[in-house]
Amino acid sequence: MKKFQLFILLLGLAGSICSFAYIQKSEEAQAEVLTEKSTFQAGEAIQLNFKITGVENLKLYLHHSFGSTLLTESKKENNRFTFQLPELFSRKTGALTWVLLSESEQLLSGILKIVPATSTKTQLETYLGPRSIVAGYEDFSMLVVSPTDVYDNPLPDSTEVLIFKQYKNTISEFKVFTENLMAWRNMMSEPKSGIMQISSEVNGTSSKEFTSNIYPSNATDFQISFDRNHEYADGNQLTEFSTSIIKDEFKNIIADGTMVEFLITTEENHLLKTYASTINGIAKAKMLHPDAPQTWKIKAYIPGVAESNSINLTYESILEDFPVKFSAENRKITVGPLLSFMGQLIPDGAQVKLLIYHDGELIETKQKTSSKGMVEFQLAKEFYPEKSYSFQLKALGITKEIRERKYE
Amino acid sequence: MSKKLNKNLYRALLIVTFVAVNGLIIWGISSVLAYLNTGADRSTMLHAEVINSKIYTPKINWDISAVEGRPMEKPTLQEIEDDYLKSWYVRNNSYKTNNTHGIADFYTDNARVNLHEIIKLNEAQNISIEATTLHHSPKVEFYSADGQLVVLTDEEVVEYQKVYQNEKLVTIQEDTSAYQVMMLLEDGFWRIRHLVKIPSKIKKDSVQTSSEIKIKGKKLYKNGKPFIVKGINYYPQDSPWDMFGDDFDTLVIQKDFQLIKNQGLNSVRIFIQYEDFGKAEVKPEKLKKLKKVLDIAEESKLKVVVTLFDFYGDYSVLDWTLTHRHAEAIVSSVKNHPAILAWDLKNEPDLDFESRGKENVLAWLSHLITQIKEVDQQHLLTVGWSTPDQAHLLSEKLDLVSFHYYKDLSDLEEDYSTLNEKVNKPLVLQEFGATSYDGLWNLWSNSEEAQAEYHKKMQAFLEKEQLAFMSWTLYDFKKIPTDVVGRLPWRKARQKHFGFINSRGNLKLSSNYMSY
Repeated sequence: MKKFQLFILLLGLAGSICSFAYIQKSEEAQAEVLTEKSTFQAGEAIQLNFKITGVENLKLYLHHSFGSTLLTESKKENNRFTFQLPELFSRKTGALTWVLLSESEQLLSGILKIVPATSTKTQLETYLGPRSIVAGYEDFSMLVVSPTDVYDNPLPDSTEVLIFKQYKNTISEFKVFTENLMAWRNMMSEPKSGIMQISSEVNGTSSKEFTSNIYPSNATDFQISFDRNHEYADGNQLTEFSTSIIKDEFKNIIADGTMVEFLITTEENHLLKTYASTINGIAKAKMLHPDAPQTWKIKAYIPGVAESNSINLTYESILEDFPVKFSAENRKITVGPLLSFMGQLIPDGAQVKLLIYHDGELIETKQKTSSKGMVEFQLAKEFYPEKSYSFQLKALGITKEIRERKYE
Repeated sequence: MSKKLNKNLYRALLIVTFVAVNGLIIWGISSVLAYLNTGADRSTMLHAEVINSKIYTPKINWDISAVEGRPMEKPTLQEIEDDYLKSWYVRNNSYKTNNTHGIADFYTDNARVNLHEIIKLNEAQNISIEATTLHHSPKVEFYSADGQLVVLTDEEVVEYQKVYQNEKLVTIQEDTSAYQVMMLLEDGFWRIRHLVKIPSKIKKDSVQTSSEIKIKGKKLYKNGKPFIVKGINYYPQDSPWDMFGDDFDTLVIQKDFQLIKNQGLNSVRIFIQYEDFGKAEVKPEKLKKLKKVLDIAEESKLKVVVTLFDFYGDYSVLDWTLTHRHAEAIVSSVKNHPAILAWDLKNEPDLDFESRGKENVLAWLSHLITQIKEVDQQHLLTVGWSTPDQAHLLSEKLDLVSFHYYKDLSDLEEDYSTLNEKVNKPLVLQEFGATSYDGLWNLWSNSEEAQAEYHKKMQAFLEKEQLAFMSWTLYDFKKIPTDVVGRLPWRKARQKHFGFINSRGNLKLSSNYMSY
């Protein structure tokens, strides 16, 4: 009998242990989400409610667009646990992953969708660029509009964006829709240079005004002309070259400051260059007259863009002859007076060359510039010890031969 | 006389003091001037020194096939990639340390507020998050005409996060999401303006295996015939633990491999040291040497188990992407080589469980498996566990289960059968051996005879079980690097004598029992 009682007692004990274990196990399985809503508007308070039995030490892991965190329950009533999501998580849009943990064991998980608060006042961020474009039908400024809600969340795809463009007397309106966080449109240039103003509007919120400058397009070919005081090759006066009014293909005067290069080819095929930048489409460059009769060929370029016609320009000699005088036992040679086209003394600085020969061989070339129409050469005995020399004199494109002179 | 001496002494002292005081004053003034002349270094001004290029290298695949707005230029894409990855790096770093260093460079004013607030929240709760991203697939959706704004959809961001609270690990989360990103070019930095996490649409293809060597049940088959790995762990005699160093000599390796083949073996196991191969930027000259070794193995008709990450021991989450690039570079460069039998991810990683945390090591390994499988689906993967007790770990993800055995042979049968029941993959006894060291440190207690006896018994057991094996090792070594067994002379002395061939190059008695 006693043995039987003991058996019953043991049986009961075993049974209770078993049932305890069973309850433990069944309780672990009981975790349930009570919150049914899974889509929230940004800024809306989010609470996640769970019915959980048998587990302690709950944590809610959150993973969202900008980062992750862990939460402990904000409220606990019987088996109902409430987690209040921090505002900085509930106000950002996107897929918010949550995982309910108990002692590092994962009980439940889910994803909440947070959508932009479209009912709040829209904020606009607008980017326009490039802001300097050229006239015509190809260039454009691109407008990018990124509308957000008050929590700085990009508005959903297909949000309507109105774009306004003012150019001279016309105002035009365009409608685009957001996609990939923003909406964009190429604001095309106009054939006439000027200013284009652009603004946009989303849900009644307007952007500020943006300005895009339409600059003249590339220059087209042009004409050149010249202007000079006289036609003599005096090496002193300036000839001015100027272009016609340079325009682009849409008849806009090209932008001020465009550099024009004037290329002069001499009779000897030497190149001379002079530059000028345009003002009101005209570039004016100057060049010193040659000091010997010359015919120049002139052509102007805007390098890589446009070129002018080619013109020829002839310079006449200013004198036909000049006097030469030998003195001081032929050791002093005086050239001049050099007289110009009206019989006036030529301006100082004209070049005179003296070539000295002995027995038909060139010994030396001396070079001097004129002063008050005169040039003087000295042949010192120490340097020129020979008995005879012959000479050649060159000045202003005229060459004079002087036959052999005797020396002591 | 003495008075005069005294006077001179005073004089000398005065002069010396005068000179010293003047020297001090000049030194003082000059250091003040020097201090005032130090201004902001240009590099610090531009934050160029904050992050240099190779500290964060997740896998990134760009898609620029359908860019709206303006075509994407390669140099710009490179800049965007740099800054985009850095934005993830500084973000991960900030969540780990809860300070905002570097955030300002990669997030615009409006965007960084969000990060600052979450960091503040986490700091208050004493939460720290160790995170890394392993994979990015950004698609450029839009690039503005003025080159100042870009919109990406990063369609596959694989994030791995370890969340700690009060310095205790709370959870490990792995997540694959997509992100929509708007970036602006502001004073030379591409900065994040908008970041919106969206559900990922990408579904991964299942991995397929195709190789000369196939697994059926617990056996390996080569071209349809059963294949039992009979191999040896190999280092050249003169350069142990430095096979690919300056002493690399193909003639030596050729001779050794021929010898191994002649001893009736069919495979070798070799080791690649992580730092030696150049970490994340694998050195091409090392890869060349590796290819040469594989070529020689192929000539000698030997299969090769390549052990990666030897001497690596960091495992920290922010270091992961670097190790991934290391493995990727090595695996992809030789994955088509016919000599390769298997990749051994790491030698005895279980020895790092205590110092680095079991969780860390296992998580690192399991992600490494994913990374390598992405590059090479042909070859077998294994991990060389140091004991049979640990060898069941990760066996579901691996193709071969490898274990090492240096304990007494009497327990081998039991240990083996326990493991064999636990796992459902082919087994390889990947390291075993006995030292023939006979000297002061073990009181002349071992001998070549004892070593031979050990191998005889072992081979008998292996034959009975038809178990794949790789013995340790071909040679007695003259020098053992400190990294292997530490500095203690009795350990080093023991380690020197595991070979089948002694230091004079003669076969030891044990060489009669190299295979069955």
